[in-house]
Amino acid sequence: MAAIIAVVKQTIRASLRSRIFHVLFALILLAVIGLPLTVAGDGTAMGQLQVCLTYSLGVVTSLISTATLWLGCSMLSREIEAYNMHLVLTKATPPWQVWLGKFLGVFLMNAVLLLVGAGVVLALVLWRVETGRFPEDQLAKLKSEALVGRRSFYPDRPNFKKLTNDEYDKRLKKGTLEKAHDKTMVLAEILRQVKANSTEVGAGTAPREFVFKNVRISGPEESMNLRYRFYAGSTSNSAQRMMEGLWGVQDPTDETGERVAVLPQRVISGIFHEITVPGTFVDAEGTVRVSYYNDDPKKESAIFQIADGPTLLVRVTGFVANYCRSMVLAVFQIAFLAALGCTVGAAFSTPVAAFVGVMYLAIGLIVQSAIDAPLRDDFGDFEYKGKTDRVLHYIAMTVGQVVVSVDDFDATSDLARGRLIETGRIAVALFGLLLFRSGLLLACGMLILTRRELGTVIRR
Amino acid sequence: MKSPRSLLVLLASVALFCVLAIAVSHVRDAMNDIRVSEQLTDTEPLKNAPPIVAFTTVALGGFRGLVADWLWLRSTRMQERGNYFELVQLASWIVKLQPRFTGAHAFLAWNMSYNISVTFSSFEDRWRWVRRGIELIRDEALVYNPGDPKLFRELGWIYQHKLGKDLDDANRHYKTEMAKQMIQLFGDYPPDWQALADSPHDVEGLRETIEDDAALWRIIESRGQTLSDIEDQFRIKGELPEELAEELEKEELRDPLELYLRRRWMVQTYKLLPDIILSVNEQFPNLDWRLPEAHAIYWARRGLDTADKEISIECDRMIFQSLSAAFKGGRLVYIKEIQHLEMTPNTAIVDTVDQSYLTAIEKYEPRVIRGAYMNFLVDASVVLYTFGQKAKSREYFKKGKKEFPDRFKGDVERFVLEELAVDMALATYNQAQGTIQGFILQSCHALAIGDDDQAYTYERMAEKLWHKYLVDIGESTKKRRGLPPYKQMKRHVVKIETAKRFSPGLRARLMAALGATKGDLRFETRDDDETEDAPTKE
Repeated sequence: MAAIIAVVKQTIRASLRSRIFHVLFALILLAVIGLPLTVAGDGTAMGQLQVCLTYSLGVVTSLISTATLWLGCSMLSREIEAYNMHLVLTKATPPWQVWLGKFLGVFLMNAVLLLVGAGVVLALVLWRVETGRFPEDQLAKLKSEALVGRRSFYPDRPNFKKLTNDEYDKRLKKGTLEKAHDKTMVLAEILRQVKANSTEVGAGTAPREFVFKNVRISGPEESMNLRYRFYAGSTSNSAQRMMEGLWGVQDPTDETGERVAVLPQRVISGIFHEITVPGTFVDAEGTVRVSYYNDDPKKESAIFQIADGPTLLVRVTGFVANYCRSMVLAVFQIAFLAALGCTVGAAFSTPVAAFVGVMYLAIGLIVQSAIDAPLRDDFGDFEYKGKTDRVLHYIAMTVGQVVVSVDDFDATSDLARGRLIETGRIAVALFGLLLFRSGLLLACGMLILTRRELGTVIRR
Repeated sequence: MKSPRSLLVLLASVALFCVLAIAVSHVRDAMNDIRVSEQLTDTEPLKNAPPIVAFTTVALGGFRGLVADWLWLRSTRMQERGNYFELVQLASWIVKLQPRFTGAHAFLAWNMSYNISVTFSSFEDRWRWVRRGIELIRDEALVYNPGDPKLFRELGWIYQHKLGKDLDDANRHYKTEMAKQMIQLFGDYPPDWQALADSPHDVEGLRETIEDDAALWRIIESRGQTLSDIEDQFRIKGELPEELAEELEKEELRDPLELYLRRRWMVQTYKLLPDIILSVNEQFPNLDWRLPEAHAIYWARRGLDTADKEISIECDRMIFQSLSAAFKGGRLVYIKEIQHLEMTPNTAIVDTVDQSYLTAIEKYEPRVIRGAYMNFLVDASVVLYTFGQKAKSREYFKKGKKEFPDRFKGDVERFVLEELAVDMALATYNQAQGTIQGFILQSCHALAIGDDDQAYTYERMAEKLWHKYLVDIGESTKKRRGLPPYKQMKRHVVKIETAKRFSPGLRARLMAALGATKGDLRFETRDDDETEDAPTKE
């Protein structure tokens, strides 16, 4: 243990002497203090908070990540190239302890830097919003929608497969299908129709009900927000306009199920809106039933895309707690980058290690883009242009399961939108990304340093 | 000695180089032309650029284009996702990175004012985005490209089209909010433009203007403030704090200080230069600077100073179109209740508008402009007549008759009535009733604001239209399409419609003006006030 602590101390000292680290540190200082004070939002309190958080945290995290990767790559490789490592390994210190010491040194120093920077960013962002002379209604909106950690609940998604099969059987019994029909094609067409019907609310037709189950709320005095978006007629941007309708929420105390609280809405289609729903509308089983009646004067359908919800947002925690959760993920990112840097640093010379490290991250980002690249239909399913497209997408998804992308740790956008960073997500990041996948890197790094023939390294 | 394999690679590389060089040579000239025409190459040093812009343009060199591209792509992505909060910052950075690319600046401003604004249901949100577009050009792009005619034209267009026209549901909100800003900026309207132009623009000038400036500083210091603090306070409501104003009034310092503060506010925030306003007022008198049309004319006028022929035509067109719009609705009726402001025709500028059309016809291709000129003459004849300026209306009718004899026929009374009654015979019951009620309501409004002549004219027009409609539909359809008696319609409007549409203050004024004859809206001083309840077709 003493050996590991000694290596940690030595790594931190050496890091503080690195010139590149000095440059990065200066940039970090500039970003931490300068960005929250200079970036401008759209003029609203919400915009101010969101833009400050997105840019300040984004830039600070990126700079510290770069510093971490660089230090990880250079610490070990330089000591190997300078033959310092040869001297260390002649002592009774096994290579894995040296590697672990290096990793911990780089990680601890940058994690502390990140946490201090994040603390300053938080204070400056809140101070700027506080002193922004925003109207009361904007501040109230900010407090209820962004300065919180809200959990999202989604409505029950229809079982399209069952509905399709039922409809197929029905048509078969009715005899509306030809005897020599192509079952696969007919099923595909019925599926398309079933899905289309599930997203469309016709003007003047029966209200569409959305059922949210297992909604957990701290008490009936707590209110929730229903976030929704619908399109007028089609999802084309140019077709969007003001639409009228009624949102109804079923009163759980009414046994007949007929008493509904109604809220008329006249809103522009194509963008997200929120309405407040009192906590008293959650029944004993945690179910909330909301419905939308389309009262469009132009008699066009309202299209609710499945990916858009609607979503029921319930406050779970405050902003600072949510901020801390996002910082936990950012610390995991630093740990991953430190592990990556030290592993490639143990295997290659500094420039090659930096190149390989950056390439690994680039692959992660490219794979992420490749996974998101195919178009999706209105129901969120991928639409492939052909077999090659499908095969390449499957390959990307497989690689995505192996390579860690720094995007997986980024929770800034959720934080800025007031979405709760779930404990489950943190657990997945800890066990799936950090301990398992980054753990493999860690093991590789130790193994490489243990097995590497240091005598073949040419001194510079 | 190279191996055959290496030689092959070398040859392949040379061949590839040749292919690429030939390909580049084909597009190079076109690319260079684009660089020059879009001012992507900074051949001259930037003027007025803040340090951060000067730094980025020099330090990033050619890479700033790449960074700007990335920001542009991000801004498009953010807009597609509905994340608008970043767009103001991204636009500002793009302008700073490509300070000479005025086409991009104009697009970004237009995008915010037109595309993003309409994605919001709330009128306040829409107005914020329209303002952001205006600010991007006025406060950033024009700072780096002073005198750029394209930017002046784009800015003028936002005022003329987005704020001035009624194509956006929120256009009245925009006009109200703009009027609020201008009322705060100018104080009592109209301000003394000459005094504003003559007032100092810095502290040294203020010291020179005021003989005993020690009193001013003593008063300010006694409040524990600086002139800068006072300026900040002044810009919140457009007035000095009450106690300070009283103290300054005693020393006769209030007016010079207010003029100084207003001038600086106009120049620094709204970029309205008093000298140019004076010159615009001289050329186009009686413009209402609280409404968008005057601002469209101001920016078009500034564009004209540096414009080439193409932009020059557009700026000229903007000026006469805005003047024409100002004639039709460019006078603000404001009775200390800004939420209930009304725009009425600005008949005082009719001669100015006429002259601007004639000048434009002389200067450019007359064919297109003559069509617009004919429409203006029709509007002028009708509006002047309905606003009680019958002599002036006849004058314009005569002009119309001279220039466009096919369009202007008969006498002015008949012409105006025909114009107002166009489609009345084809109108549904509701349309006809709505039109007549509208005239009665206008009459009530004019009466409430003390314009008796105009009220009288509106009321007469309502009655004549009622009469004409019943004659046109004939006896056969009278039961189905006939209107209620005229007196009943008047009573309905006064009792019901004004209660719904007028503010309490305005309605109280109307009731006071109506006096004992409430409901009938009679004008006892007039002799020809008889109403027929059942006209018959001749």
